[in-house]
Amino acid sequence: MRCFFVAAFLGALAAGPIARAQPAAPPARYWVALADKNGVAFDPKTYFSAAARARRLRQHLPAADATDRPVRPDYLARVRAAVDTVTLVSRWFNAVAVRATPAQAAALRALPGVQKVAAWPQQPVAAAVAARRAAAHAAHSFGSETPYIGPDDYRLARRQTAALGAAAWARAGLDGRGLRIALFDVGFRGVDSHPAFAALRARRGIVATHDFLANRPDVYRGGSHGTEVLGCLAGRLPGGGDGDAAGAPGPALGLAPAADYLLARTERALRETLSEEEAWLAAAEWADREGADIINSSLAYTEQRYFPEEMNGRRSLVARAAALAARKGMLVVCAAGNDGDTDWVRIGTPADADSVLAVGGLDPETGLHLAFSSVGPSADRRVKPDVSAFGVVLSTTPGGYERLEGTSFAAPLVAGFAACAWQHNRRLTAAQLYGQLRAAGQLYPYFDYASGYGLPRAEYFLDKPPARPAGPTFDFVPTDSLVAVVVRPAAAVQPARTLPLVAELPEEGPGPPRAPDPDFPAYLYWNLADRRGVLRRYEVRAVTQRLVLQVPRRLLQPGDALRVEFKGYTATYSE
Amino acid sequence: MLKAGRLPARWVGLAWLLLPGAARAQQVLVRADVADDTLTNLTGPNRRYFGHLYAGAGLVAGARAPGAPVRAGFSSMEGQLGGRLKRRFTQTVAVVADVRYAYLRDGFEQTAAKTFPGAGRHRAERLAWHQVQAEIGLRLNAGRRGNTVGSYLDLLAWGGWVAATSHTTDDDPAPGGPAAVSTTETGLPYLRRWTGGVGARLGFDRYALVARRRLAGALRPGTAPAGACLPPWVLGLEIGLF
Repeated sequence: MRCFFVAAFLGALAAGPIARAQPAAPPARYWVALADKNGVAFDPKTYFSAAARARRLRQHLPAADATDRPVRPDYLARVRAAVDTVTLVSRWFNAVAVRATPAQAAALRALPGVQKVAAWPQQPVAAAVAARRAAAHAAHSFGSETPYIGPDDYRLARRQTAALGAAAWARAGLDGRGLRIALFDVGFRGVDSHPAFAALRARRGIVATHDFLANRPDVYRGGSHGTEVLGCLAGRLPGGGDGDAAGAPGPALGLAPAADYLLARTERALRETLSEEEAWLAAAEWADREGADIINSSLAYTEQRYFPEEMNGRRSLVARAAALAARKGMLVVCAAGNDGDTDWVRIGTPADADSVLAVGGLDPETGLHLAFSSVGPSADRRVKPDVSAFGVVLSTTPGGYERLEGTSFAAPLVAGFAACAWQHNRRLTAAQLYGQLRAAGQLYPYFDYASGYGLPRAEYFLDKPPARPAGPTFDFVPTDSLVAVVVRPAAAVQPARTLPLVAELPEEGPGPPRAPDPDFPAYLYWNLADRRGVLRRYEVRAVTQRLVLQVPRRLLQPGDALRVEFKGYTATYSE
Repeated sequence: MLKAGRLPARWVGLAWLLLPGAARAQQVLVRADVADDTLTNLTGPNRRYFGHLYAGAGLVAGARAPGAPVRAGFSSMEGQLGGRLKRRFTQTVAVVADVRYAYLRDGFEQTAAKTFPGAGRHRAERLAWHQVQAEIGLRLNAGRRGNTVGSYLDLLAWGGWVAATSHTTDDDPAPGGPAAVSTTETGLPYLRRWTGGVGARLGFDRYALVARRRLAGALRPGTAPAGACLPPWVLGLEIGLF
């Protein structure tokens, strides 16, 4: 032990001169808010890409607003001169993120043009990707051979898009063409070589890439979570050809195989520092400039930085950035998170932002909420998640294809759905599309905090009227102590299915026969809401008899509403 | 929206069904009680209160007297198992209070100069303390964080009651005798029953480096050979069990 102290003493001696040569306190991160943008020259025509200008024009947004103008160069120069490192310059927030010592931070506060200097904490922890790996299904390695997809995985691959109306979108010729979708993720390892993206690469569908952590264009490193997410948008199952060889492209794993993509690396695989939120903001500004229509972010930041009661859409930098992106005409689609079965339980950020489409996960086997999928409401009691899609999918991995689970993959499935809907009606603004995506939910106007408004239906956007029941499917039967919900006889019939003469095929491709659309049993959803519309409790029940539910009337407080949904019909009972 | 009213005549026939037990309850597939689920927790790693168990181990360190040559390394170490309650006041300041069981063992080198615990030389020799300790500390956290313990420095003061002591020697058996000879003496009169000291803990989430120094003497005055003393430091690791 004496050796230990000797070694420590020698170490201290050796470190002494180095320590004396450095500032007294180590540099920390600070957020420097600037006062104004007076006198800054800005030409939207040169700054924004043609696609970005077209998006704003389409949505009747101004060509630029004050948040688009760059920060004042003189302010920026003074800040650069006063600190060690500038890590982000944000024109949206008119702010600069820096690394500085406390003494430098104090000096920054005295600079002209500096409105506020706030400490910008950092916590190294586990990554925030909203993905889990389904352990039972191994990767299918590919090399020179066409990867093998088992029947169950093939069926899942078809059902994950069929549930979102792949056949209807295909019949309408909608595949995301003309839309630009930006993906913010850990990394996109293998996208530049995976056969699932051969068609995407061949048509140069990846229009821009940038690594906002290393500040370079290469995003095909750092991790494969982005590869898996992109697979749920533009990946394809093996087609007629091998590898990159020319051949019939296989069936799509997502709904937007013809969209254009912007790939941004904003997340480290094994760390979660505030620099990642800065990178997210920088990527959002980049996506805006490059003309993105949709941002998909399969990331959810939770307890390492925040408390559940802070998930109000106003606390985190990414939530505020996402809200601003939505104001600029981009639809922001975010994974709700995978903390439904942890102590956190709630959605993460930026899914908590007001105008962000938060996507929860559904079980492909039952159509019900997956236990791991984070639940709402937001801290200020808004409905979250907004909609849901399959949270267990087949997607692309650097080694081939793999069954994966997580709301990370529900989000791109819905982003692809949104791309089709927007392609169908380009006159919609982002806010209108956001509202219509919620209204397209199979449960709408019913909602709960597990599934939101449910799985979006393509029929809502297409000309064909949705297959909704003509009338009520159940009745409320109040008695002295109970309110019963009894399914009407007509709605209790379970018709036999008849095979069509010719099945509708969304696209041609090899492999086993197409799986039918998901045919989940009809569940009865009910919730109890207070006078503000905030749910007190909610349930989903199996329906094996017509008398499904009996709610004690003592649970109904004045102003409460008992809302029930069954087979597309929603009714409310109140006292 | 259906308002409450009289029971519709067509449902009168079903009224018997609504009696308790008359109908089979339908299986609940998803259930949430939002009011309960969204209560703000008062307990948690970075909430007002946080309680958890922890385990620790450390090596004895410090100056050694020639008459009491305590071995370095794993022969002389302390193991701990305890519980901790943290009361947070601000994001950066909290107090912690621990109660723990600690087992301290000092092994002795068998040198010619050894006079403590005894002058005799053995194949191995050790003293052991079974202690119940209490500790309070001021916790200084670095930086804002979410509901995590984060990085911190604890300044500690602790005291303990020595519940049991033992002196064990191992000797080579005589030819033809038993396989091993081990002698244990308990209730050692020359060791103090009360102890205490100060310390510091440098931690990140569940892991921490700990240094504690005993300020109270381990030996009763007048009962041990002159010049005998035991190393006062324990340097080790702790793992929070949460």
